[in-house]
Amino acid sequence: MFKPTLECLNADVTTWEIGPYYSALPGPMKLKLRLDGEIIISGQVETGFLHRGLEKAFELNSWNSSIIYADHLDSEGAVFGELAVCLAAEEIAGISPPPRAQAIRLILSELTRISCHLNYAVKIGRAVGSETFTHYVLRDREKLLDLFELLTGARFSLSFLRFGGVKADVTEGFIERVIETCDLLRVRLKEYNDLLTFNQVFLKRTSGVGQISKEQVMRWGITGPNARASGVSFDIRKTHPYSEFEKVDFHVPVSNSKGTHGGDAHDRFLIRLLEIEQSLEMLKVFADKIPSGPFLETKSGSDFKVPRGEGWIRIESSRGFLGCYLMSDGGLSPSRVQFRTPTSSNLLVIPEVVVGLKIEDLPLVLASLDLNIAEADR
Amino acid sequence: MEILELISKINAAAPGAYLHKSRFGGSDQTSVWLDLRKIRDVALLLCNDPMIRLDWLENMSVAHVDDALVVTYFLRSWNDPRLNLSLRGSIVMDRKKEQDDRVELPSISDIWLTATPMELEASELFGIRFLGGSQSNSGSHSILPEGWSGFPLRKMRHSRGNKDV
Repeated sequence: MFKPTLECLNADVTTWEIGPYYSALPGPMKLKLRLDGEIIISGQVETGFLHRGLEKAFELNSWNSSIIYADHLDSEGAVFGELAVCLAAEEIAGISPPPRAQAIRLILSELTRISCHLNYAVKIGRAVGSETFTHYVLRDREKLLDLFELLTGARFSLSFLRFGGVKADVTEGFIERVIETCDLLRVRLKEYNDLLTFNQVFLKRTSGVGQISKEQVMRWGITGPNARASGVSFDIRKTHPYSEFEKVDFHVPVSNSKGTHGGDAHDRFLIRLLEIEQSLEMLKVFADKIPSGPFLETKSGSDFKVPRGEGWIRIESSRGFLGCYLMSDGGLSPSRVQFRTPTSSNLLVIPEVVVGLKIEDLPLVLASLDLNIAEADR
Repeated sequence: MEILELISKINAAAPGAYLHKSRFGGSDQTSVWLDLRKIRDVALLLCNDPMIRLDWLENMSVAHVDDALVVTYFLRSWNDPRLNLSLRGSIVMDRKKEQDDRVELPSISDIWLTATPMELEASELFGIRFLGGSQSNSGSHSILPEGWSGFPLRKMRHSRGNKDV
């Protein structure tokens, strides 16, 4: 129940419709807000403007093409979609990628996680008007895109994973560059904290804003860093390890801030920086121990088929729980591919989280939820 | 809780709902096949029974297999995230009826709130009318273009949208 505050103007309630295309929104979506003065008293979300028939496209194309389509689930974290589809097909077909391929997949996953979290930091920086911070983070993110290019030949839409492994072996100097970048980013994290995380202005803008409680996390099925920022310790890499994550020793950062500031925009920002730190540790250890051997079990041509069956795979993307249901009828194309994406759940909490917000904080709260409309609409 | 104990609880709460159990694909996850007309009774039991507490619907998927739509509910417990179960069932479509006819299924979006967008998608893309659902029965489109007729994820049909698929 909305309780009026002193900030409420003694004005009539007004209705605003924002979107579907507006710079403060994370993508094509519509927000229907009711405002009392500058305070939001209710909000509704409408999505579906970016529906591309992605799941249908899988059914109409070859198995190998499905990796390219999976890239477009989330253009920022392309490898997560690829990995989910590959793991599901491999489960049905009983294919076990060689250890070297698993290691390359893990390295690519964690590099992508860092890249996505840095992109998140950029969005937050823009929402609070911190241009300097934004430029610094973008500069460092370029180093990760360089690594993607060195390994796969592409900076986005990598199309690098294959059923049973990866497309190519690591290129010369790649591992050294990964370690070098990890060392650099570890130093940069301290700079980010000095510049923004514990900056008084940033703290004032983000503390206690857009809070999500543990109960809301569970009610709406929120996962990933947004859930962990609210104190819910759930990470698929721990509960259902895949791609040999069970062999990696890592810690899942969970916010323990309670009371008036628990699960707020600042916690969501901070938890991602802590996750970057963990991913850097993981990469440093894993890059040194990459096993030798083949990188692909068998090369799959255009006539590649997955035997009749079905699989349900869960992975931890940069935004949280990404599920892929895959069904094969033994033909040249998948019979059904369906994704369960973290943004779908994050969108559900918006009508609750915007109530009581000042309209000026709306772009910040939306940015702090790390929404990707492309993966929700598909 | 052991699966046989769970099944006996389902039989007590929703007589006739349980059909059989199987493994899900090649995984070690158990699937319980149900008469979907009684899905609400089973959902209320699984979500609210303190001994079960499968209180998170992590996914609902629909697939068109032969003449039926197979619906799978993937459940998990927040108390113990390693505990999971899938509920499955099929809705047989009447061959004599038009491909564009909707089929019906009880909505569970008031029991597992995460089902709301999943039911909305299944409604538009597969033509399932969720009885008692909050928003998926209005007939208006939120995913497909306005004016679209038919359900694009059903098999063996030609859409009447922009082009045949």
